[in-house]
Amino acid sequence: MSFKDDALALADDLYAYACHLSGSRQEAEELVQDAYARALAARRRFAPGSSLKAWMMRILQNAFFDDRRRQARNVIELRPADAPADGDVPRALTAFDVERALAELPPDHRNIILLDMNGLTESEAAELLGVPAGTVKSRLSRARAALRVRLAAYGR
Amino acid sequence: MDCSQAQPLLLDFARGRLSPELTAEVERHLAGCESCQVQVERERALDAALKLLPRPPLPASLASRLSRPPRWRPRWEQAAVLLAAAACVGLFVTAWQPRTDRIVEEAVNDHVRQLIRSTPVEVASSDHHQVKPWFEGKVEFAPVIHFEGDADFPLVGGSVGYFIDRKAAVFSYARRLHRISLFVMPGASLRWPSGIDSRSARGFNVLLWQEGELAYALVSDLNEPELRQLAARIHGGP
Repeated sequence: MSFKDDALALADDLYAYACHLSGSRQEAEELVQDAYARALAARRRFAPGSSLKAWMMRILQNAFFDDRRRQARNVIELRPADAPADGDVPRALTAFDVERALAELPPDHRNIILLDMNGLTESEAAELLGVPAGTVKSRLSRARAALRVRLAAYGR
Repeated sequence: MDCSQAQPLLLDFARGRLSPELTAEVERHLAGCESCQVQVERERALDAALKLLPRPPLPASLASRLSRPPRWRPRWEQAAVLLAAAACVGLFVTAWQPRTDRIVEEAVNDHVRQLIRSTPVEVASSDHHQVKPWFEGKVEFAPVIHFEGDADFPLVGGSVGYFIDRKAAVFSYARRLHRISLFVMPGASLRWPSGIDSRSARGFNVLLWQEGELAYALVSDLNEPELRQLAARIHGGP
């Protein structure tokens, strides 16, 4: 298969990633289209044998954070006073609860959870985020703890 | 192993990703540590919760933009190209295609997407009576098919697809090494040709027909006479 075919086969995954990362389907469409444009322009920089999915997700992630920086939109971290310090995930969660809880996380927390969900290895995620591998584990752990707090709050 | 050594391993433990040696060590620790046991349960519960996360389907319009030749353009370049085009040739010369051509183009794009998806069918079965009920609750109509698959054209499975602006039930059939996609969807507001209309685009043959309120698009790189044989079986009429 050609580079373009390989890249197109990832479109479903990238769109879902972009939707959850940006919280907007319209923005996700633009991000995906932009990511493909950037990927095609930079295709010679892709190292054959490495993960094309991780490489495409990195491009999309960079496009997302570039946009956010340009918009200088400050993301407010939601830490409601009534949320428990930590908690069990309640049993009767709905898909909507999970989507909302994820959307309320700061973008870097949201991102690392999505990278983990997409099956990226620690070293792939580290390269994508530009941090040491050990940092990925601790960042993921903090992000998951924050998500648990949000989800626990919905269950009460 | 104490808690500070166990804790960084608990997520991988919960997911069964540790080596047998480390797994055994963590298990020994867990046997005597209630708080780490609780942590493992929390990790599992959170993974289960994340599995609930909806997976928005790729819009057909975006899929078609991505697979359209000649190439993808960055956003600023698209804007520049549009401005230049508008300045040079006037806005009235926007790419206009007869509607049937757009339908054929969409059918071919969607078929290609079916072929390159990591999971080409969401329900893999050659049993029509398993595949057809699988669509209940997934599409807002009941796909009508007068053909259950046979030795010539075995049914491979089904999946939900998007055709232009609506959900389609997608049935996958095979013929030797060729894959065939049948898209069934409500025909409202689509200008579908009458009778069985045969077209081709980019090396694929496309047969279009309508039956009641449903529109059908059958797409494959299979030759047209054989594709027509399958269409006749699905159509159930002359």
